[in-house]
Amino acid sequence: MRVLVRLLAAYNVLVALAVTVKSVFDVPQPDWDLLSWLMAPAVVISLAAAYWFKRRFDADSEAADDTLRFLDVNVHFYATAVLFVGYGFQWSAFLNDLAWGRSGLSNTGSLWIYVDTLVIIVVAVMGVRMWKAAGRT
Amino acid sequence: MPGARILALYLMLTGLAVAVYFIAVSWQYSGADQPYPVEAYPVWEVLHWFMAAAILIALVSTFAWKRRLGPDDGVREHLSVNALFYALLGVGLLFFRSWPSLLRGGDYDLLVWGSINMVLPVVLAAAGARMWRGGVLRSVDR
Repeated sequence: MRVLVRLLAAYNVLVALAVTVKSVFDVPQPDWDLLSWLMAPAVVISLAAAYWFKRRFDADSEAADDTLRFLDVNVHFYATAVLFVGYGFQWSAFLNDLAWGRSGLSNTGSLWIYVDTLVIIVVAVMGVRMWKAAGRT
Repeated sequence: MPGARILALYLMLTGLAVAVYFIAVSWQYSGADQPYPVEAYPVWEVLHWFMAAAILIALVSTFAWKRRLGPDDGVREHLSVNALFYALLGVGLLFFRSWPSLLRGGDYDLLVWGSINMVLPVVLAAAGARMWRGGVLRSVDR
């Protein structure tokens, strides 16, 4: 289990890194089409991890007064939920484009800037958290 | 209190409907020149009324809850209520600024409506879940 969590964590961090490099430096490879596919599992992994961290915190009676941890867990959970909805919209439009033989990333492109920014932050943070959590268990 | 639970359910179901339709909307217009079309959006036209009511209900209940917070309530409680209230206020202002323009036949600005549709489901779900658990009522009763 620990190995699996670390693999998923590493995947998340690598995807976040790839999106960062692509966004900032606009390198030719990997292209956005490929990155869009790679982001899908990373977003789902992040949502599942954020939910697990929140559930674990809510169930921990000793953490009741730990405000910083409360903020940490909840901010990431809700940010991941927003990312999931935004990415879902873009991903759905992207698949629709592909299904109809269009190039993808059509006029729905204007929300990608939010999605990509959130992916870089949330997916990377969740990856690091998962890596650390796997080391503690 | 069943009334509060019905309202909570309404908030959560509206949030879910917005999220699901937002994600699925491009498939409704499959094959169109633009997957997110510029013609009228009949489903959104109906959903917007439900969204408006949900935002108002969530804002009023969260504001009532916020007003009744006292020094005895913990930091976490203050943070939760204020974060939820100001998130609702922000998305509510964006919604009520943009919706009248749509009703008058204005253009659909994807960037604005995309932002609303990304955030609103999460905020409504959080407000609904709070109301369902009775956080609002406990504060009002005090």
